[in-house]
Amino acid sequence: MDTFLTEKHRIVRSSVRAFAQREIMPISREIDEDRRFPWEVIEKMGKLGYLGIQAPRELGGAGMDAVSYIIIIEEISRAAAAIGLCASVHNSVALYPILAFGNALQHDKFVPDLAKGKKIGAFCLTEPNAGSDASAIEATAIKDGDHYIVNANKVFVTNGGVADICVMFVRTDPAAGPRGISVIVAEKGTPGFVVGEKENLSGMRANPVCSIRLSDCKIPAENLLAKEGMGLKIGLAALDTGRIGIASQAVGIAQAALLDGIKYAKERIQFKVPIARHQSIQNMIADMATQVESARLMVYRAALLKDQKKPFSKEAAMAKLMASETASRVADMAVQIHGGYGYSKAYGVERYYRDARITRIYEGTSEVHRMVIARNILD
Amino acid sequence: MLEPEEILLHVQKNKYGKDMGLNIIVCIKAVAEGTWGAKNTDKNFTLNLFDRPAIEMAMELTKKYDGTVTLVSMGPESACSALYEAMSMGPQKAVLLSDPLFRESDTYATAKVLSAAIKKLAPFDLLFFGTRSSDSDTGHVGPQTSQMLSIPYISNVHEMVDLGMDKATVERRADGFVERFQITGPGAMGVVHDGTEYGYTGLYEIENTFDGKSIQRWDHSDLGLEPHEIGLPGSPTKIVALNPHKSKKQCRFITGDVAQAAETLAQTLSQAGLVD
Repeated sequence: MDTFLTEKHRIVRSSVRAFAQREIMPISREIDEDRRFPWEVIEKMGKLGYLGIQAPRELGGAGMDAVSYIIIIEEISRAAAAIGLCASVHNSVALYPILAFGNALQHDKFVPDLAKGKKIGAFCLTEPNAGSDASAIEATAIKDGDHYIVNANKVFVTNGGVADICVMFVRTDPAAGPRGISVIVAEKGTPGFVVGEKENLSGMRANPVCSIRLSDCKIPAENLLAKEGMGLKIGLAALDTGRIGIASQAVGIAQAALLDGIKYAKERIQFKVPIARHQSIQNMIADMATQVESARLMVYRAALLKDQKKPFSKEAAMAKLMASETASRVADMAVQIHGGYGYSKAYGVERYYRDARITRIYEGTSEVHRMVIARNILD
Repeated sequence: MLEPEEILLHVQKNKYGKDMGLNIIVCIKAVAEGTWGAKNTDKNFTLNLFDRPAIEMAMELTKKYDGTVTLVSMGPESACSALYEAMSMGPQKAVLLSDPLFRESDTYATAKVLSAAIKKLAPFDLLFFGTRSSDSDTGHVGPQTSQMLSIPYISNVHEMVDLGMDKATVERRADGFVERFQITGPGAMGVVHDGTEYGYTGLYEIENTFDGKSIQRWDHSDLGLEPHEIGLPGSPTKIVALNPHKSKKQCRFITGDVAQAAETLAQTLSQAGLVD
């Protein structure tokens, strides 16, 4: 993997790894069990630039490239996937659309606080009746002078419980179908902006995934990104970037599972030898390592293409599909290597197994990704 | 040995009467990632953990008094990754002493190379080292280099108490005592972590490091060294054998009533001198 990395990327990796191992790894089990969002860690991440990785320096970001971004998400996710999720969503699907589609006024208003981690971002697309079919959203924003009156019921919002700035998908023209969808930036604290209860999820439990409801919420028209009707275009662009982030998150989970599997296989004695001497365990370790490497290579390729300003949509979709399926398989094998202990919360692999599962669902299911890839190949 | 005119006094005026600020040199080492005995493959070099406090102290001092921090390291080209890592902590200049002839230098030959480079970098005020390296753990290089430069060396310094026009007051901990030393510049010291929170390098600093800063490279001829003085020929120490060693472990189970067992445990630890 090192072949692809520049000196700068290696330094990024070693510094983020040091941070993740000292500051996040020791609390990863506790925050999962208590469903606690570790503000103390998030604040430090903000100061170090991890919440504005690709935002330009003049707007308070670190101004780094996509490869640095995936290195950072992988290392944080290796320590605690729920924190990697927070950083990935914040950087890619919250901050990125504002940067890419916002005007100078919107940049100045939202980006510096997000990039420094003073405010947390969220992406509000999913609704009870609109998931993979984003064009089915029912949320509305009706123009009223210099404001929009927004009504929305968004569910499964990652970072929802702590988000200050929400990239919200709404229908500005209910009659126009997919072309009537727009994106407006909603801020917490606006009257009518209500955060629901934390979802009781199987994994990613340290992330406050919530529903967000907007009832007759008056949002300034200047918060609309780009133009009315651009919603799906913005969404697809954000998700292309988001996919690389979720893919690297999955690689991070898989890497953690691989390393724990290797460690345990060397320690656990059965039939008088460490189980790593048994061929069936060796086969698992070999498969796990090979799959993790191939997934990581695909993620690096997608990020490199993005940095070279070449089309990367298909490659990002392939990387996300491969990495998320790999994370599930590798975490499953790591549990198997641990035997009964692997099914216990005493070992990390039980958490990786739960955390890995969602990577095949959010920011586009595996099925939707296959659709995107097939369309890219066949068109 | 340094000539008298090479000895710098802190914030000495240059010939134009302008403050020159502090000039601190920090010697660092690139070590192979992993534990002692890890293979020195060319790719996985990282900054020796024990060098970090020296860089941190140098940066703090130049922030306070103004000046320049220069990093010096001897190693192969791949050691640059450790220099970049160290530069991301703030130092403005870096020199890599790299030459195939430096290979297999022991600590004495290493000190010879380093001292030649430091003479070339003179004048300076302070010369910092880490206390030891995580891969070979000798702790020789700092004292040896200082000896070759004929400047004082103080080990285990955790705090710079005061820095005056021509002297530095430092504190070191040793055997349960805190010792305070005063030295006239230039002086060398081995710096230990002062117990404050570990500082991480942020992305902004990393981006700055690669923004126009570059590493200078010197070989034996730049330093005026002869091949017989360096590398294997210049090394009086020879490694005769290198074998893994397992320390003997003794395990004693303390059983019985919890309160009684705790008492026995405390007594045992106290008798072994492990707790007060």
